[in-house]
Amino acid sequence: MSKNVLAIDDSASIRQMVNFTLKSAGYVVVDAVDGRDGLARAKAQQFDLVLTDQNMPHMDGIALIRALRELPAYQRTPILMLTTESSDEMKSQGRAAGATGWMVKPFDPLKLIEVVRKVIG
Amino acid sequence: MPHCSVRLLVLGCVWTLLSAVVFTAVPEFAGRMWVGMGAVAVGWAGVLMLATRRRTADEAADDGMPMASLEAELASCMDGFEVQLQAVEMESSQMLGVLAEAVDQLSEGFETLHASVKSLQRTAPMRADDAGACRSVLQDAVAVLDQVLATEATHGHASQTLTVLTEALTTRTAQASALLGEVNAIAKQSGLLALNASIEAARAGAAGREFVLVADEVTALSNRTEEFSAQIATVLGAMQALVGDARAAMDAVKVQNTVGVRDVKTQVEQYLAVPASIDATDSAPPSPVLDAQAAKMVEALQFQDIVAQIVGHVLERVGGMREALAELGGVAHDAALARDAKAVGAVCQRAERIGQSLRALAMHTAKPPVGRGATPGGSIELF
Repeated sequence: MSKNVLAIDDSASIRQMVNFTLKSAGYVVVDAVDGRDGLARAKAQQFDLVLTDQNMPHMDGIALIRALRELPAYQRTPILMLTTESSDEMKSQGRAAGATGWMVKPFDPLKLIEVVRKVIG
Repeated sequence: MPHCSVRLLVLGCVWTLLSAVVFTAVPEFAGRMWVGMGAVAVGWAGVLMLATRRRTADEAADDGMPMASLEAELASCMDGFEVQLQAVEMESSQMLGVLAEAVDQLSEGFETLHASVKSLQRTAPMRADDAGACRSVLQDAVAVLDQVLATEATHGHASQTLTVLTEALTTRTAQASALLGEVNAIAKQSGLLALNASIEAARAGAAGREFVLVADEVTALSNRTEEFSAQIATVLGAMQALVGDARAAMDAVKVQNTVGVRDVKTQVEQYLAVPASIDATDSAPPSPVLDAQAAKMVEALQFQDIVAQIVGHVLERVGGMREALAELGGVAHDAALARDAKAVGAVCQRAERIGQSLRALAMHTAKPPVGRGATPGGSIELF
């Protein structure tokens, strides 16, 4: 059975690129336009992996991770950050919030597939 | 000044005493009390007039304080504009660099794909049963790739247009900076002239000819300030339009390219799914090669998105500056027409508000739209 991935990014083209990349690797991808939308979708459906941007309106990526980690269903779910942010300080914050990994945009689609396979199979 | 008033009071008293002595002690004036009282009254009237003139001049001099404060506020606003405009220039350069990189990657990816499929077409198997289907698929693939390459030509054109637009943006920014310098100079001149006008008005009294001349000059300056304000608004409007065009051009190309990439991949995958074509062709591009090319294009398309974010940030800055400049035009106008301390104080408050909104804009746009950390794009770290 295909694994479900929740991809959250306020940029339509990044969502499109993630969708294109992961679908071609056999994953089912659901999009969300910002942290708030992502949280609502995560509550409505259980995902195997959450892939989120950091800088988004309404709720940023780190706030979303904190909110997700408070939900019993997402305490062990892998959450990857996919962002243009690459400072060590921001990475530390993400790690402390409960992020599983940090990827810096622009992402290499083949590496993204490799990491997703490594994390959820 | 208090000591001046005392001096005038003493002068009045001395004049009164002198008049009393003259009209009582000198035999020629004896009995002319009404004349004596008249002389005393004229003396006190003179003292009163002198006192009034001195007080008005002192008040006019005090008006110089808010004017100086206004000038300081305007200078602070100009510094704020300068910082914003420099940031616009820097972000525009960043935009150009990123776009150039994206165009290079896209070109390379499309050219390689095109060459691979052309090569496939030349060496495709000619066995009767599979050849027809294979040829048909390849022809479709080539047609799609040709479309993509046509898009690429549009992309190249858009890129050149963007370069021209951004150069124009830089020129416009320099023009805006020069105009702002002019406004600053005018504001200073207006402030000094308004101050002079109020002093001259006080000194001129009923005559007031000089005041009229200065007031005319102030009005002319005020008109000039309005003109400059309108010019700045036009320049910034043009800047916004340029950046907006750039973004629209990129968005159009992005949509076309995305569709192109999908179609290419689908078509070539269909070709690879025909067993005969794979068996018979040594030079067929292996799937990983095609995936790598598609991946390169996906990466390039993300660069375009990053550019769009930077452009959005530039637009936000320009929008904020435009609002502040419109307000500044009004302030310069009011400053030139200000005639008393109350009016100047009100202008000062407006100028201060502009300074506050500029500082808020600087804080709001301080965080770059694209991270500038040490880690290169594409890096992955699992915790």
